[in-house]
Amino acid sequence: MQNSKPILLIEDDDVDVMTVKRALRDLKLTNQLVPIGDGEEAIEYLRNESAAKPCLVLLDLNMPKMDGAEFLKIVKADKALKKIPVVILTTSNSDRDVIESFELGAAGYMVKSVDYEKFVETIRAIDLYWTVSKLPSNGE
Amino acid sequence: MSDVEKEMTHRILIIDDNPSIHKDFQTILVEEEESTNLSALRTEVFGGNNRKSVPKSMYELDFASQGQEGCEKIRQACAENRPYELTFVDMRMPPGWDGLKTIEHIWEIDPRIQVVICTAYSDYSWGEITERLGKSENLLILKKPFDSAEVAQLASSLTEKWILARQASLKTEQLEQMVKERTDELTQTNEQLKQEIVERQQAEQRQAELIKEVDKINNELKDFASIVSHDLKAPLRGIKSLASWILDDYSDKLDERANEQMNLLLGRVERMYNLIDGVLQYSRAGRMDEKSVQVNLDDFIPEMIDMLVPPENITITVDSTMPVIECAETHIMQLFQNLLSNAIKYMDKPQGRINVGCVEEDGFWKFSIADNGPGIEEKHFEKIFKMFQALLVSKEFEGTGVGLTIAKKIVELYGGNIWVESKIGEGSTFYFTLPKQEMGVIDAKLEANIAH
Repeated sequence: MQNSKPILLIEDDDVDVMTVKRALRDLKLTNQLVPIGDGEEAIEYLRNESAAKPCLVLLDLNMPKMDGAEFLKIVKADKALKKIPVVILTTSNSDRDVIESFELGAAGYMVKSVDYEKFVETIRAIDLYWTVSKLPSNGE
Repeated sequence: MSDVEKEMTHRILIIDDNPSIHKDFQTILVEEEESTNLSALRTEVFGGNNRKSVPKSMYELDFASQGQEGCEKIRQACAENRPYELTFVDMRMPPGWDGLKTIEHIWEIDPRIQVVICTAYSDYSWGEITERLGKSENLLILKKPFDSAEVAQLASSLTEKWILARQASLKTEQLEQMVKERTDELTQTNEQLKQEIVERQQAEQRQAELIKEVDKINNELKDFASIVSHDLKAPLRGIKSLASWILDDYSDKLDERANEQMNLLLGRVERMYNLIDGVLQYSRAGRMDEKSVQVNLDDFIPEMIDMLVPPENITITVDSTMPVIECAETHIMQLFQNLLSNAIKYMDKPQGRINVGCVEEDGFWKFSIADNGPGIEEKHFEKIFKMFQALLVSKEFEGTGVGLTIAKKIVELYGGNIWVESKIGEGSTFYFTLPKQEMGVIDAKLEANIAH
């Protein structure tokens, strides 16, 4: 990662949260991981002035209450939040989900691997990309 | 009086203001009737039929002195259903109606009655009479004074005429009735046909609705399989991650038995995962997302073998007689891939040989994939085509267990068959057939393909 701002993980599955945490640890990434289990709460967190804005959002699509697509719509319509890159991290392999995500302004689309080693590779790729790619400064 | 006797008695009405005329008619028609003379005459005129049936009195006479009275009698006779067959009408009957006026009224009441108009004077010419009454075949003129034989003849032939006319009209009625019945039948049949057409249209509409419904269910089923598999995979992934982390992080703290159990657990998770994948693959197999195309198997099979990358110890040969078939490319690829990859996977000989062949048989192409591998026990010949059997039959089978089931599904979709012949230790030959013709039929079948 280009900076040490937190990574926001929107994911309702505890094991998946653990998997991401573990992968970050194995990759020796120091960014704090903020896991939130639902889109609504994530919006609240992002709009909370006192909370540090994340450099990246990892977003699951299938969630109770507000799902990933709805979250994307709201964030991308919000002037203050739309520049934060959102990467989809999901089990869904369907073309429809991929197309919809990019249409809604996702910065990337990653399929969770069942295999942990492959999952680590996915997180490594995300980290690498966002190390090379410029990130917006969030206006801070 | 019985009906027969009624038939034999002819009713005649005499309308004349002169009572002595009444008497004359009585004498001529009733009393003299018994004379053999007349009887013989009658027989002469109408043939022998009447000879034995001539009764004592053939005629039943009634008398009226005035036209109005006569009309009343005729009306009553009609009402009683015993109509007069013949009436003799005098021309001059003061003070009432004259003959013509009477006849006009009579025919209004009963148009079938035979009329003889009796006149001594030339009051009216024939022309005047027909002008008044219209030209009628039921009217005769009898000049007075009349001859008794003439009267008897008139009575005889006119009553006979009346009966013949009635029979003719009955026949006509019968015919008309028959025509009406047939017409009714036709109308009814017509109605039935119309009803059937309506029912047919309704049935067709219902059918269209059902097809729509089946399509909908079909689509739901397709979605269902993928959603279920997806949802089943998610927790399994969690189990797998946790188990592997325990192994990674604590294997040194676990004793040998615990380590072994964790590995067993991971193996089962793997198998479960493969099963779910199998369900997914099977539900996707045979879908008709692509149209049938001409596939030249001479080119197609070698390409496919290349893709499978067989190990060096296995030689795959293809007969030079491969046909061009019409089918979805994905289907034929899955078919050959599943069968060939099985032959490669289970090959146990240092010099593996696999041969792909094809012959024409009874309107079908019969394909064969023969190997010199381990062979299959006969008791498994059927089982191996059933879902997940491979997984349950033997531990060496590593596939998802649906390869042969998918092959069977595809072959059957095209109306063909699949089976295996094998000898333990010597190898197996898988056969499948595809119909040569009927491509249109197959297309229709594929369109309506239900996710089994």
